[in-house]
Amino acid sequence: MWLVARQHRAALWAGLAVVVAIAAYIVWQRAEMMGYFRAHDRDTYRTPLLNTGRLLIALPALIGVFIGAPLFARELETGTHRLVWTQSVGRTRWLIAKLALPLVAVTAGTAVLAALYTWWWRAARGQFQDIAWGTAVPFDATGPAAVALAPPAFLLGAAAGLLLRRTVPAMVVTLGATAGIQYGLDALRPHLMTPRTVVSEPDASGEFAVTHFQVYFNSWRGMGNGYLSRSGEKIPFDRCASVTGGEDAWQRCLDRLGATRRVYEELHPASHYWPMQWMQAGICLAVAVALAAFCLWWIGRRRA
Amino acid sequence: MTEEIDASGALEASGLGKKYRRGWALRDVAFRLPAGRICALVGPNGSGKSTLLSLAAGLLTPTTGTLRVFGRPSADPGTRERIAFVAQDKPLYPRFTVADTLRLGRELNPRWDQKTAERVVAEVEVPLSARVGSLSGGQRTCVALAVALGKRADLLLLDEPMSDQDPLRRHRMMGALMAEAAERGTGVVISTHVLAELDGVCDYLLLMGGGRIRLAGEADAIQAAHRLVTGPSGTGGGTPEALARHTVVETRTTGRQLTALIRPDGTTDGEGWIVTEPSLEDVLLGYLRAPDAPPLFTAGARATGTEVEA
Repeated sequence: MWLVARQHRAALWAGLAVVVAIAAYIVWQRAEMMGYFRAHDRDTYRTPLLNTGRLLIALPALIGVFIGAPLFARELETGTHRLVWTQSVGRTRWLIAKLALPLVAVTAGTAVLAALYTWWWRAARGQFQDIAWGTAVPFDATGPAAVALAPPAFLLGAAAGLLLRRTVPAMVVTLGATAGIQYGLDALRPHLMTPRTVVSEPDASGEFAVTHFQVYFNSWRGMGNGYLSRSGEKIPFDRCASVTGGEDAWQRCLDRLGATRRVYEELHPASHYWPMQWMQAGICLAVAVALAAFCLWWIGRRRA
Repeated sequence: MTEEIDASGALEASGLGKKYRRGWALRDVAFRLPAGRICALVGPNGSGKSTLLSLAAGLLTPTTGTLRVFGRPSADPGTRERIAFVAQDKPLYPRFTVADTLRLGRELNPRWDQKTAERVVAEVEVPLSARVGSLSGGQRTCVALAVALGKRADLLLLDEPMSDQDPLRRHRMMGALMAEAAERGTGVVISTHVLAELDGVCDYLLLMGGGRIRLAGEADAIQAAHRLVTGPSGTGGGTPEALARHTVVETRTTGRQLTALIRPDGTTDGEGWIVTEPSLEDVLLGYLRAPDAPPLFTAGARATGTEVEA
């Protein structure tokens, strides 16, 4: 344990400095924003809020590439593993120490930043309704999901380093794989829970379906929308989009499908935020456990 | 049971082979090294010395056969405490100070002896606060050796430890090493291709060539088993008939004079030859120059494992 701490002393301090810097920035920006909101136009703080979120969602990849990937790859590349592997302490214990200490550090650091960003985001949320809560920023930068992204990214880097034994290829693979995982999670997220369907009735004049602003307040929209048929079937707006012949043809297409003027929209209400956060965190932790198990299995197999 | 383990010696190989992607580095290696010996592992570059040491250190696993360290398979976790290994490139953490490096040894080894380690470091006159990365190659070797000695292992495996040392430090290092070995009865295996640095230090010899063992046994016995004979060269070249009943390792002709390194079978007297006892270096050079000479194992150096007898 001492060895791992000593070996990565510089990295630990650097990581701590980064966390403190971002944390201080968040606290400062949030305080400034709250003061500003009282008197001015809201949009000034959109850029820092979004950019900080983007920085936070890039953090897992950075952790994997710069902390995870060199962890074992550097040892294997420079041959120093031969120094450690021939001491009395077993390789498995060495591997566990090498994984555990940085893992605790990156998780704690990410947790601090995610908590602060969540705090900022909650204060800002009311002002930026157009930013859906389900997109990468803020979803991957807030709550347990943000924290849970760090361990699999770190372990992915470590496993890549063990397998490839070279630092630079391990970093490249880690970058690609982490980006892939985050992209995959973003694509998967709308399907984690069944969207709620909200139906808007035509207004008194019978001409237009008017949606209630309140319904969409705080919701993650855009899961799908369209007309309801008389029998209650959903007809997405784009069902007739490919019909040529102008508005008349489009109307005929809709009539043929039996569309009424009732409009539905599928969305994830704000109440889906926490279940989805925990689901994504669970997926990430399962991946992390699998990667840690792989590292242990690999080192055990090498000794046999 | 423990007696059996001790009887099997510090190292015992049978049918040992290691294949890399580029081919076999070791093939059909069988030998036995008793405990507590100072063994020189000699051979040209690429003869398999480093591979053999890495196998003994448990860093590699054999492709075929077995290598037992104090009676247990070399990959067995229990053997790690009993061996210390200094690899050829002396891997150390360059950003650690010397003191940190010794601390590493202390943290990772229950039997650690700080005094011994510090004494070895003092030999190179390097301050404990110096960073390993700022040391010269020879100084780094000493630090690596200090970690190996501090471990209080029963067998030291040193891969070319003297190659980057100046003669004075080489002498001092050898002295420190031998003093430790004598005090605790530690066995040492030192690989080298500089024969002179080991003369008079080692009492056991392993000569490797082409991934096989060519000579194995006590240095005296190997030396005593050979004779250097000098006489007039025959007319047709080649091996003179007079030497035919002996095992001829190597012959050299200088002008009309022929010098041969032989393993005598019976007497060599009365044949008109000048017979002298060769130095150990003569024997080793003879074998190195004659890669096809038949191998020699002294009685104690033969593998006694059941696999061989079966």
